[in-house]
Amino acid sequence: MSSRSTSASTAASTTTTPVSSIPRTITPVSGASAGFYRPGFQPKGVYRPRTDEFAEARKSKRSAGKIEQTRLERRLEKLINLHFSEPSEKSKTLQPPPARQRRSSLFDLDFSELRGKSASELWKDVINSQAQNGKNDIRAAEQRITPWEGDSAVSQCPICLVSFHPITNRKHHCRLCGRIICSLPVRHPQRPVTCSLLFVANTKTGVIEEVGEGIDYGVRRRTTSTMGPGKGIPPPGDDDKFLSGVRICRECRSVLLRQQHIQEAHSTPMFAKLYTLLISIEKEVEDLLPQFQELLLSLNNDERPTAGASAARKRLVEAFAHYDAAAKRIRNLPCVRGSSQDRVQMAILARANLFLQKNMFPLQSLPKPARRTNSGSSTPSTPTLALNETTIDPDSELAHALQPLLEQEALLETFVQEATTKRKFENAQTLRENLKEIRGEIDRIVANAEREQAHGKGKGRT
Amino acid sequence: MSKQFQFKLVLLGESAVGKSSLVLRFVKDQFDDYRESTIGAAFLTQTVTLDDQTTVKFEIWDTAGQERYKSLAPMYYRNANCAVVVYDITQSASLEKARSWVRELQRQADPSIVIALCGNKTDLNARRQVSQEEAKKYADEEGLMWGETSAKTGEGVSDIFTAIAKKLPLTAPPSRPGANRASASGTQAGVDLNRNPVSTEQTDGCNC
Repeated sequence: MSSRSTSASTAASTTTTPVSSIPRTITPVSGASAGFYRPGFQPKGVYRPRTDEFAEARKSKRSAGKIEQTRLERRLEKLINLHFSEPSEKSKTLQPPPARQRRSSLFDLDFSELRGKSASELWKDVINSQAQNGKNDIRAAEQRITPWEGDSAVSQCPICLVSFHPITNRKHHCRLCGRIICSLPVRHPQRPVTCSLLFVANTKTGVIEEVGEGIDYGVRRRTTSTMGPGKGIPPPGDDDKFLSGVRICRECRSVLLRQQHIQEAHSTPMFAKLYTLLISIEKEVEDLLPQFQELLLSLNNDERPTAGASAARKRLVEAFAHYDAAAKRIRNLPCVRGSSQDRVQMAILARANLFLQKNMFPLQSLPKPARRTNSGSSTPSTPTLALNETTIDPDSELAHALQPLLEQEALLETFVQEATTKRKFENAQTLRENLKEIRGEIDRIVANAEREQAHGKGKGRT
Repeated sequence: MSKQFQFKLVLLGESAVGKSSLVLRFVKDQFDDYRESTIGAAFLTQTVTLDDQTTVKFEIWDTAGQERYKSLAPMYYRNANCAVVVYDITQSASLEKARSWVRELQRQADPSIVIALCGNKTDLNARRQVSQEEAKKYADEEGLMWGETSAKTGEGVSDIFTAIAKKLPLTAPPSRPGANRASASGTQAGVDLNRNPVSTEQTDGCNC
C-alpha cells in the first residue's frame, strides 16, 4: 500500500514538472536573476515568492470568518438589549409576569404553581396565556434578530444526532445562529457536553453569565457565577428574581466567551483596585515621612510644636489607619482557602504589617515636644499600636527605652525569615534566641513601667 | 580531627566610624561608598581558618552607633566572647567614645571577653588626628589588642579578625553564659562517617 502511494507520488512529480515547464514558472520571479535556465545546474535554487498569493487566500477566508463573527456579536448585543435591558424600558412589553419566551403548550406550566390555585384562577391563567399573545412579540423580535430554522426541516439534533420528540425531546432554537438543537442533559457517550446552554446578562452591569438548565425557561439567578471566580457579588435583592435565560447552541458559545473576556478585560477586579489603593497610600506615606522628620528637626529648638507639624503628624497617622484598613480588606476578600489568591492576600497583609512596623513605630517615638493632649488624641487612632493598654507618651523615657527594642524585634523577625529561606538554620537559631531575649527585655520594661505607674497612682491617692 | 569553634563577636563604637563597612569588608569583601546608618543591630557570620584543623566561626553583631540605640548594646555584649571597639583615626572624639565603650565592657561584660581596639579609615591618613602611638599606648595600658584598618582598601581587616581568633581560648570551650549549645564547643555533635554500623547483621536478609 505504502509502496504504491510512493510510486504514485513520484510518478505524479515527474509528470507535473516536466523540464519544459520550469522556465515558464520561473520567469515572473525577477528580471535580474532570470538567466538562462540550464537543467541540472541551479546554484541558487528556484526562488518563487508566494507570500502574496497566500495573503490573498488567507484574507478571503479570514474576512468571511470575521464577517460571521461580527454578525453573531451584533446579534448577541441585540439579544441582550431585548432581554436584559433596564426594567423601565421593557416594562411595557414584558415586565409583569416572569418572562417566558414560549408557552406553546400546557407542558410548560409549572405544576406546583397549579396545585395551589383554585379552578377559577387556573382558568384565568389559561385565558391569560392565550390572551398574552403579546408575549409572542418577544419571539417575533428574536426572529427579527436571527432568522430561525424551520421546524419541519429538522428531525434530529445536528450536534448529538438525537431525534426530536414532541413531548420528551422538544426542539429549541439557538438565538444566535437560528439552528434547532436539543436541550437534553449530558449523556455519555453521545453527548459529552450539552448541546445548548442558557445565559443571562446583568441588567445594570451587562455582565454575561452562563446559567444552568432549569425546569422552566425562567432560571433562578445563581449567586456564584460559572465563569471565572472573583466577580462581584450580585446585589442581594436580585437573587430571588427570576430571570429568563436565553438559549444558544454549543457552537455559538465561543461568541459568548469572547464577549465575556472583553468585559472582564475592561473591568478590574476589586482585589486589584484595593491593591493600587494600598500602594498609593504607601507612596503618600513615603513622601510625607521625610517632610515630617525635617519639620521635627526644626522643632527641636523651640519647645512648642507648630500647627504644621501636628497637622503633618495627623495626616500621617490617618494615612497609616487607611493603609491598615485597606490591607485588612484585601485579606478579607472572599477566596478559596489555600489557593494562590489566598496566599497572595496573606503575603500582602504580611508586607503591609512590615511596612507599618517599620514606619509607624518610629513615628511614635520621635522627639516631639508635644503636649499631653496632642499625643493623647493622636495615638489611640493608630490602629495596631496595642503594645499595652496604656497609651505611651512618645516623649517619655519608657518610649525611648522601648523604641529601639521594638525596632530590633521587627528587624530580627525579618532576619530570621531571611535566614530560614536561605536555609541557614544555624543562623536562624541564633537569631531566634536573640529575638527571644529581646522580647523578654521588652516584657520586662513594660512590666516595670506598669508597676511604676501603679505605684505612682497609689502614692498619689494617699 | 578538624575542630570548629563558634564565637560571638560584637562591634561597638561611635556612629559613622565604619563598623558596618568593616564587617562588610570582612564578610563579603565589599565596600559601599554610601552606606546608610545601621538600625538596631545587624547579624552576619564569617568563618576564619586558622590552620588546617581549626576553623573559627564568628557570629558578628554589628550594632548601631547612634545614641538612641545605646540601650540595645548591653544585650549584645553581655554574652559576647569578643568585642571590637572601633574608632575613626580622623576623629579624636571617636577615640574618647571608644574609651568609654571599653570602660563599659570592662565593667559590665563577661570578664574573659577579648577586646580589640580598631582604628579605622587608614586610607585617610592625611587627615589623621589620632596617632598610632597614642592609641597603642592606651591599648597596652588596658590590655587590649590593637590594630589599624581601612575598610575601603581592605588593609588590615582580616588581620585583626584573625588575631582575635588566635587569641580566643581555643582549648577550652568558649564560655557562653547565654547559650549552651553543642556546636559552640570543640566536640561538635554530628554524624561520624567512620563509625562502623552496629546492626549489619540485622539489616541483611529478606523479610520472609
